[in-house]
Amino acid sequence: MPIVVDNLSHVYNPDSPLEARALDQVNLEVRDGEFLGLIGSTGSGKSTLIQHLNGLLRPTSGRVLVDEVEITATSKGSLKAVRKKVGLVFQYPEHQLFEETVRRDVGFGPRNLGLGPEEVEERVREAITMVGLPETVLERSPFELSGGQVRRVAIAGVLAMRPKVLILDEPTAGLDPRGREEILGQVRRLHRDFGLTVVLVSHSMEDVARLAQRLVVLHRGRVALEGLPREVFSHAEELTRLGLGVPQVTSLLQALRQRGLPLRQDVLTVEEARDELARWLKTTGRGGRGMESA
Amino acid sequence: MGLTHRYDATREDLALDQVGLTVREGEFVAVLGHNGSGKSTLAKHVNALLLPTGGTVWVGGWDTREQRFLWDIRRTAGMVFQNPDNQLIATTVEEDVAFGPENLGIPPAEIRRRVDEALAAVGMADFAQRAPHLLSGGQKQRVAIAGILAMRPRVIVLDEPTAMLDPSGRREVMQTVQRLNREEGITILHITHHMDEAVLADRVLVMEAGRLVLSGTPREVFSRVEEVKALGLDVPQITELAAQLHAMGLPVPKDVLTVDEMVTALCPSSSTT
Repeated sequence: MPIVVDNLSHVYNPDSPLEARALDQVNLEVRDGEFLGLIGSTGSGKSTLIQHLNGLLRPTSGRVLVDEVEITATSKGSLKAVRKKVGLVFQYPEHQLFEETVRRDVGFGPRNLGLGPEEVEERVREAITMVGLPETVLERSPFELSGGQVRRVAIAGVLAMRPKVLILDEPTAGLDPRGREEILGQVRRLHRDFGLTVVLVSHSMEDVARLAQRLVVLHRGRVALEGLPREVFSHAEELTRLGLGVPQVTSLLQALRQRGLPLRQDVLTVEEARDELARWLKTTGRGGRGMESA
Repeated sequence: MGLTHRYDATREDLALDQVGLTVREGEFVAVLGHNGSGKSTLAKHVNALLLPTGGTVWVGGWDTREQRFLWDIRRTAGMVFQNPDNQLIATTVEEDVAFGPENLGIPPAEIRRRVDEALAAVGMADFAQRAPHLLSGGQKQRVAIAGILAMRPRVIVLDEPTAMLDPSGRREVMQTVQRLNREEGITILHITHHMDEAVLADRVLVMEAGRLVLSGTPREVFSRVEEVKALGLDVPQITELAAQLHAMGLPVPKDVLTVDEMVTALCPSSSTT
């Protein structure tokens, strides 16, 4: 179920002194089953864009196509159907938890769909399992859980709607490294094991480098760069100018390459950098103990 | 100005458990630890937002439990929080920065001077007349820092000030913090989950279950890769990379902290020629 964004512009407070063009003729596609990373500095239009992908906002001009449903400024198609297919997890989603138990909270969406108690219960159990939490948490208050757990509950609430596309706006903001890893590992499994299309909005270049199959970079409401993470992160200077950056290891290999060392400069992860540097160190005769004894 | 924190108690559910710590005047200390480890609780003791249930906190020479020192302490140790939107209250940047000194009853001419100095110190002088809500996250945090500077503090405690910021916002805030520490001699207590920010500090403290479990220079702490990871924390990508290459027996030091250090380690010729 692809999402097509076609010449989309969005203007807040049009024809007023506060008029602000948040999106300016954006074209992009979210492909069926892909893991898309969306990056851009604060105010680049990311949040406005993702709210168009599930029909929370309507375009000022242009259109968004979600599974054949067309959303324009005046379209009459059912936005409710769109919201069921495209689940959006907001920043700090735990602030939106309010029920007494995890079960009630995760079941909130399905109950609102008018589903019967058994169907709701089935979806709640399915969703909590999908985020890797034991069913025993269902009886607990969301407020007793750890930062990473409570966020997984919030994601489960969106999954209980059985969306095909999951959009996450900075799902790791404010979490410690362990909580971050917990959420990102879970998102990766939702993509890999459950076939969900994932759109991940993040300020962590390291995270999108590691996880995303494709990247879109927004700047001042326009698509500034788009491509495989390797391609996008090869534009280090431009990314810095756009208020972003590249992963530390990418920046290291690029610096070494600039000094004339024969190294790849498109590495994205610690493991890739280690393998590339180990290969090079061994060819220079600076190989390690293993080489010397061989 | 030193700061000593000691906590003694015997209950099971302590947020802080017998922490003993001295931060020296002019020091830049980073505090790490996973959520719930007691970092923020520790920070809030520094400006008497929380008072010890056992033990004593001294800020300068003041015991934070003594009510008569409260305002001296709050003026001396300012706090910056995570969410920039919750800290700015006025309709213009300069009014916001003036809020603290006004509450202290400082004469208008002196307030004007302090506001201008504080905004200049965080690189926001050109934004004095702007509306805070229209600024970027990094700019908002710099204004929040300016609001504290206008109180002429000796210590600034920053509780995850970059958690909600994009990469350029983080760079702005960290450059500002470093400059205030180096050039103005302000003591910094910086709580963060970003290991590359902790690398900038003179000393790194690691909290776990309300206790101080590791303390040392960034190099000392981060070279203990396995120990740091076992505490649910990370080390900087570069340090991790160096440690892995070192473990393979390759000629790379295992305590590298920055990209520049790693470049020098791998091509020493480029720094000598």
